[in-house]
Amino acid sequence: MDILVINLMRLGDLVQSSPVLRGLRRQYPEARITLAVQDFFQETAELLPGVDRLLPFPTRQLAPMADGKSSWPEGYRLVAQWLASHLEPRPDLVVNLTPTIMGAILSYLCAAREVRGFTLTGDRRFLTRPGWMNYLMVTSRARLANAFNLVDIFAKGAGLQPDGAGLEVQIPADARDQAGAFLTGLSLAPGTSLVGLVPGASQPQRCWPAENFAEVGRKLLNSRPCHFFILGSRSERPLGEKLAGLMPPGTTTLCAGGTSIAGLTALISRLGLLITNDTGPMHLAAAVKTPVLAFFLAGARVRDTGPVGEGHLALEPRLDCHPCHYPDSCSLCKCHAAISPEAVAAWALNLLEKRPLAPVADASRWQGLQVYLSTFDPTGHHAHLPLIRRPLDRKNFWTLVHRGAWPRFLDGNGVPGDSLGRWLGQVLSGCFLPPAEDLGLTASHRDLMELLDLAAQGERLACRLRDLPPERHTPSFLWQQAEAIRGIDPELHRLAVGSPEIAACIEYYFLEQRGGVETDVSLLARQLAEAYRRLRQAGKSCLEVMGEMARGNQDIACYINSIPEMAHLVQGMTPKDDQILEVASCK
Amino acid sequence: MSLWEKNLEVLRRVAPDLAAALAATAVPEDHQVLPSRAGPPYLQVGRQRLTSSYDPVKEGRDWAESLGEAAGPLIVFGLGLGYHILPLLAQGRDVWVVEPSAMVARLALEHQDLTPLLKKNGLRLGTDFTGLPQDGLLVDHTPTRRLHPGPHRRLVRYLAGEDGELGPLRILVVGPLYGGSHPIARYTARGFKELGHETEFLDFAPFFAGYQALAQVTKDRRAEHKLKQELLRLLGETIIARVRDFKPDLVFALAQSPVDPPLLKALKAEVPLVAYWFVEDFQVLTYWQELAPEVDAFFILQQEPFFSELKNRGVKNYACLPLAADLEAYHPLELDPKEKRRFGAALSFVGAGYYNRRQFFQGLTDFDFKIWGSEWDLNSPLGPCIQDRAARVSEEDSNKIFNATRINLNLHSSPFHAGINPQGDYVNPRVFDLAACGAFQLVDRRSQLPEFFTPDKEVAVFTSLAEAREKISYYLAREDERRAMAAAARERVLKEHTYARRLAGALEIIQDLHPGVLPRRRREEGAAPQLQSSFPADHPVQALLDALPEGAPPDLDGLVSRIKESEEPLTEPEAILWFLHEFRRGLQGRGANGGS
Repeated sequence: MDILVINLMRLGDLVQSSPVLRGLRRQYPEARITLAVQDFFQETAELLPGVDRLLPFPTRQLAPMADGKSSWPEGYRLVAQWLASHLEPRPDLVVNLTPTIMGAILSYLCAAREVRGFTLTGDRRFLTRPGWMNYLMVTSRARLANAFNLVDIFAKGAGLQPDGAGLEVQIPADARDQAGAFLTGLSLAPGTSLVGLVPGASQPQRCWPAENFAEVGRKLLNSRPCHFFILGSRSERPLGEKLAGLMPPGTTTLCAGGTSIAGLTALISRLGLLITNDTGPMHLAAAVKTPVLAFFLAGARVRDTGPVGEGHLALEPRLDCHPCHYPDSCSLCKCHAAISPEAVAAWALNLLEKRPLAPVADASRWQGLQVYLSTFDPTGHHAHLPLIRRPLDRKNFWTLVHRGAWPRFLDGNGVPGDSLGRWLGQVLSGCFLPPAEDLGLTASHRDLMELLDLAAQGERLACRLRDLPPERHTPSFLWQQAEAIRGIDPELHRLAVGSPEIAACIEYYFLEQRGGVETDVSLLARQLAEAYRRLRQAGKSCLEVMGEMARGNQDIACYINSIPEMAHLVQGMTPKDDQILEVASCK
Repeated sequence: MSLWEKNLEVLRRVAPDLAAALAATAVPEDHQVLPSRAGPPYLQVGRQRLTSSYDPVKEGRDWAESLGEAAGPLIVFGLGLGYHILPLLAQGRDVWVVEPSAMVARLALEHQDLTPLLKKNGLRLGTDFTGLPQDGLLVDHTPTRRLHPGPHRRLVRYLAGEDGELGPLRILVVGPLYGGSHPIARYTARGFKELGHETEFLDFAPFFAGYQALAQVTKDRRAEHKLKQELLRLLGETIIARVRDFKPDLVFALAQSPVDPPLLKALKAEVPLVAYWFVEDFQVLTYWQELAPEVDAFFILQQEPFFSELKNRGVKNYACLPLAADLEAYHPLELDPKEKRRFGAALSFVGAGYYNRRQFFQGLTDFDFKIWGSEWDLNSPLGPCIQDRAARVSEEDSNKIFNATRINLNLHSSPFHAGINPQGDYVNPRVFDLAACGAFQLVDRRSQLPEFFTPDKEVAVFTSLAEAREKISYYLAREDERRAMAAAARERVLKEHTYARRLAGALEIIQDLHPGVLPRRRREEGAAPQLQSSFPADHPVQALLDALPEGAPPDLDGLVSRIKESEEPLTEPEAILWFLHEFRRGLQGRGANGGS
């Protein structure tokens, strides 16, 4: 069996797809696994285990051809030739993790029997499969609801289950030896902590100021002997030089732009701690199990791309504008100031001295900041749990609801009282203080019931159309039915806008609906009925998990009971069975 | 018969167009013919002597002798007063002369018998190099070369067999928010396109409503001014943004476009060349003073004393670029009887009610006279003549009025004079618009007018109200004469005064001012054939290229936009093209992550 994994993204994304390669190898031990990457990142891809054949796409060579007005025919020939030489015979399975149109077209060009991920169909429609890949698309639209790390979504989008083993890379022996020799050559005093600093990032808005990094360095030096390695790409070297200039003399080694990817990884693997923005080196550190303390500024969000593994720390500003409303152009960068060097130094010391990390309640000390500890849930999915206990708020509560609801909806997993449910309960009680604000239960319950109602209505109409004999497909009848169905979508849009908590479910429904080109009425009606059924399932999962969490958590139950008009919710959270059955009787 | 008449007679037989051009050429005051020490006249242009002021005859003879007796044709760059040409003609040499200046050529023909040269059609004017022998030996008349280095370079290139034409350039034309230079900006963009350059018109007209709305925001004039300046500054920023996107070789800004010195400095850091066309009267509007030093080429409508004013301010990169005609906007038109009634009259004027026009036109109200345009006072003696309650006239309606009117009056505006400006120099756009329509016009005399149209042959000219009245009566009675003159004027426009032609001249001037800065791309011999030749005849892309509808760009963008719309099953070649297109979009930093 030939499997082709397409990942035309960057360093960090490549490392984050390592669990996919591991999962595929486990699921298809005999298969030949090929990994297609941009040639810029070939060096990174070479570190990924489980790859039988690495297929670099000739980006460097193609770029000047594709950019030219008259040279693109050369580009055409290059791509055609590349496809013919490397993708014959056609792979049996393509897993495309690249969420771009380019990636989708490439997956189509592979003409594989099965494609997982984002792809294109012969009738020129874009589609994503399985459901978790749709979920990945949804998270870009209803981002705040996302409760899963990209690493797990990649795995699930590839049709695999996360195994809780985190990221992995293999460091070549010579790179390991060179890193060892390099460190020995520095003749550092025994007991010196080796700390990496990554002041750069993909965007300036995501860079915590170099002055702050330097301040952290000085504070750490006050507590224990440290030596700092400034890491980054060649283009980040000036920033590295600036940081080095701000540090006490003799305490830093500037490595930015001076190492290969293998060398960088080997060096990171020898560090006691990496302090970094959300960058590729952060994922490399997570992959070699070096403790990470990372900042998630501007548009970066811990829950989406935080460092995967046990025991890493991720710091996020507690600002209404985070994640950034203008991630590419914000000039205020309030998030930079929200994270103080004092706080970073204190948490970094916790990691360096391997102190046990457990949620603490002194929120007043860490104003403007949330610190997350990375871990895995009992189902092997990655999680970032808040270390500073604050009253449970609406945003966090709903993230946890989604954490329970989506696997139930998309995988059919999760029953009340199972390990995930228990874990969610523990998170609620262990990481948060009792709620002090409206968790949106009343409003969301009402909106979810309306969602179920609309979905049932749509399903009923679609079923009636589906079951109608073709001779009754008169234009006027079809028009009436279409009008009735058409009336439902604006209502769903309204719900999504008014209720961010359930917007993801509705976006998911619209995503499944996109680009349908079916013209046969019965077939169209069948697809539509199925989509409404799934929307109902999504809403039902949310409602169930919300009810279970509310019932299962004493604090929330107390909180609900203290508000008379909400007390009935604890009992009435789950939809009545007959409400579901009425529609389920449809063929 | 004078020497001039003798020469002209020969020239009329051999090269009638050249004869007409020279006959219509007026010699400006800075071209002085003075007696030399030895007697025969010598020529001085500005401060440059084109011949010896001591003994020009001897100088000419010595120069001719210095060439030796090499066989083969000689191409002499520079006619001067002809002293160096006469000995060569006397020797019977095969001589060709290229003279860049019509004024100098006219003076030479007035002062020397050049019939042997003219008989063999050996004189070329400006940058018309047609028929010059490719194997000719180029020799320079040094003072002429010094005076006209650009045309000299072009001649050298021409003789070296290099294509004198520029390849396709990327040009961004920047227009104003409103006003008379707005249509000129549009025509300019169209002219560059016609020349085959990839041209974009950055049109700020949509922002005009907002600009006007600012006046309603506050009663404080200073605050209003500040707000308007802020809007203009913002619009300036949009130019930079567009420039970064479009990456032009040349930014060509029109008068009143929202640019100021800091923005021009910023633009120059982004673009190889920035040109500005100041289509205003420099004495009425003086903002040229701060803009001219900031651009690579500053084009103006006037000559002296504007040239001197610029020189005094240290500006070197200026040149006169007269207006022209846009044939898409102004052209002969068949009107139906209803339109003829509405737009027609014995005498019409289209334009704004400037002070001098308000005064002058009062002397014409006894004619069947229609006045179109804005800023006219309805409660004035002109009231009965004013059409549409002095509403603005669209370009389309102007075209109809010009075509429907028997005599189109054209009086250049002046805020200072009671009627005709006796010192008026440059000609307004209406002169060209009317001629392009094939419409008869009666225009006030301007010193530059003869450079473009032969007075009273192609356009009728007046210098006083009395003369205007006289000519109106005369021409109203002579339809055939009117038609003949209007047709001749249109002929002249088609040949010499289109925007494309004018802007080709502008690009030549820019090249002369900044040699080698504009890129010399090879002109594609039609993109589609070139593309088709880059794939084998039986390649599937050929079928896709063939299937492109007429007008669709035969490039990757055109192909892929069709591929996306097709309802047929997607083929592999189509998918590869689409992939390539997305790859390119990714490179250009757009839409690389467009998921669904």
